[in-house]
Amino acid sequence: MFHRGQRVALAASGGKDSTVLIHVMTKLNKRYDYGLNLFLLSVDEGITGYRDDSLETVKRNSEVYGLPLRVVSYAELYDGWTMDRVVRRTGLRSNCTYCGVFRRSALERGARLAEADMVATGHNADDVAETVLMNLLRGDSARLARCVDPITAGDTAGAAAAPGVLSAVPRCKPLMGAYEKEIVLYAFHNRLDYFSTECVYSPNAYRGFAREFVKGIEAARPSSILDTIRAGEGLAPLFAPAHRPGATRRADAAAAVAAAAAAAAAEAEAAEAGTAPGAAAEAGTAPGAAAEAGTAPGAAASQSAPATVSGLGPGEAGSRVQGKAGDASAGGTDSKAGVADARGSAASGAAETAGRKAKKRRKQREVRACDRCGQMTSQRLCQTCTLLESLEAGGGADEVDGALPVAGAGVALGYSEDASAAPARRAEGARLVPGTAAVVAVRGGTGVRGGPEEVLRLAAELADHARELRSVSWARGDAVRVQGKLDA
Amino acid sequence: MSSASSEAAGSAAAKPLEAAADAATPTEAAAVGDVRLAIELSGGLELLFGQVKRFDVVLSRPTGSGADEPLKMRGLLTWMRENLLKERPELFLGEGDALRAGILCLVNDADWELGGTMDHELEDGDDITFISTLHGG
Repeated sequence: MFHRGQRVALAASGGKDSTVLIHVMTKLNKRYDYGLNLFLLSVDEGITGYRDDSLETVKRNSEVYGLPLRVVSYAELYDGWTMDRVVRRTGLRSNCTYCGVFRRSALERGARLAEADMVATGHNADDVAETVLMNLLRGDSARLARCVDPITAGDTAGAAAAPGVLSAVPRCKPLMGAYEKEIVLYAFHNRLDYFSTECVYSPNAYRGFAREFVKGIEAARPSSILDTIRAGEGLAPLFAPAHRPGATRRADAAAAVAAAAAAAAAEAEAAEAGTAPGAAAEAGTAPGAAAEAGTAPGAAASQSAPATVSGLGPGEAGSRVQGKAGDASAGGTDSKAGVADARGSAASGAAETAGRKAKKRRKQREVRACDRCGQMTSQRLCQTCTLLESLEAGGGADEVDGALPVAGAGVALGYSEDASAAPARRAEGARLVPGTAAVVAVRGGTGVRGGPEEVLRLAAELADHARELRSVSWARGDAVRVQGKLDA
Repeated sequence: MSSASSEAAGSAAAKPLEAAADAATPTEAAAVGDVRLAIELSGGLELLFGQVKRFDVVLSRPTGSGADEPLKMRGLLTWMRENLLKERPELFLGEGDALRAGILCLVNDADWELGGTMDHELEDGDDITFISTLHGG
């Protein structure tokens, strides 16, 4: 995974996984003289009460293991958009998505500033299994293909970097084969010092569902975790030719021609068995995929179809290859000429559509520099900058630290000591005018029972009923305010 | 009959716990048949137990059909819910007072699975550790 002399940034959050990562990497680097130049890279998302505490742990790690520490913060990287501020703007639905994108990008930028050759994260087997399932459930085949790689280099791996484009620092997961349980027990028995609190903004994170499920199947059959990862590894190549942007044109051509040959061979058998030419549609798409081909690589020669597609344009290649495939099948079996012709006419129409699709896919994979920050991207703006622009365009009053502007008709609803009462019911009882700004004050004796987590749970509930959640703030020992616009 | 005392990690004064189920007759010295246990909590679990990381407790073996039965883990967990848990029991225990998935349990530094998890028998002087893995890393 590593080479001698590499500068490796260890992504450090102060949590169990990164602490174990630091411990193990330092120990092995010394014991086996890997010659790696290790240092700590930490991201400050600007989450009051959560990140400040865990950063203290990282500072202790830095001292204990004698590794220099570099901290990058959302505040400085993203124009003051700390997660506290993002949540005030977006509420608790999509905040984890913002944070995930911002953090990856922050690690990237931090690594580049520190001139790292590689970033190592503490992802464990449970994490990767959860990710495989999440990507499956979301139908994200591109991510599914990449998430089981021990080393990933970002969205545009392998593509030659155009001038002015900042290429991605490779990321690796040295602990991905270790179960979370093993990591926790390792930390326990070695008395490692780590920080263990759930992020205060994460109660609704999608990953929570995947994690519950993974814990459940682990209890029933412990090997399920590694088996899920293996399933992901098995699925990855299926998506790779079409979705891995780093794949070169040659690889595409090989895959496509192979697919055409395989389809043609299957066609021939089906035709023999007397199946309807509905199967012609399949033959059409396979040559369509081949339309992306620029050159015919040597790999194609090993396939049964002797199709050569060198120097053809997209549309032409489609029908030409199809013709060849048709020939191959005709050649392979007797008296198939008639069937091949029928396929030819039906397929060339399909090939044209497929050819256009291939052109579109090619265009999307073009590598260029983000207009705002210069990072590698295939769009005008990279993902991070796209999210930043949407935050900035958010509009509406933003909360100034400490002061909560109540716009228009502000109504304060008294809340009971029972913090479990549903905010919506209370709101209905007060007959608020829909669309007005409202401040729901929650008062408890020594703050809301359960602390910040409870507050955010309430806020999430309110978010279900409110069209727009403006802000959540609380002072320890006093009142909690949740401000939002209520639905009709 | 059972009694419990606690030490808050790092704090000078030990806070006495609220009365246990049967506080009418607290025992000073452990009687024969009682099981003294040290319960340690980490990984954030202490938040559910009033910020206390370690409890030294004495439980008596369950009595049934005349003879003393061994104290099992399932009995300890129920007892903990009734006597030690301060809030949000669902974050520590699941259905039927089973330990929530994602919380590890060690008996004398050995995985509780080796002793039958919920049916693990507890002896006088055992050290039980609960570690939560349910947080970011």
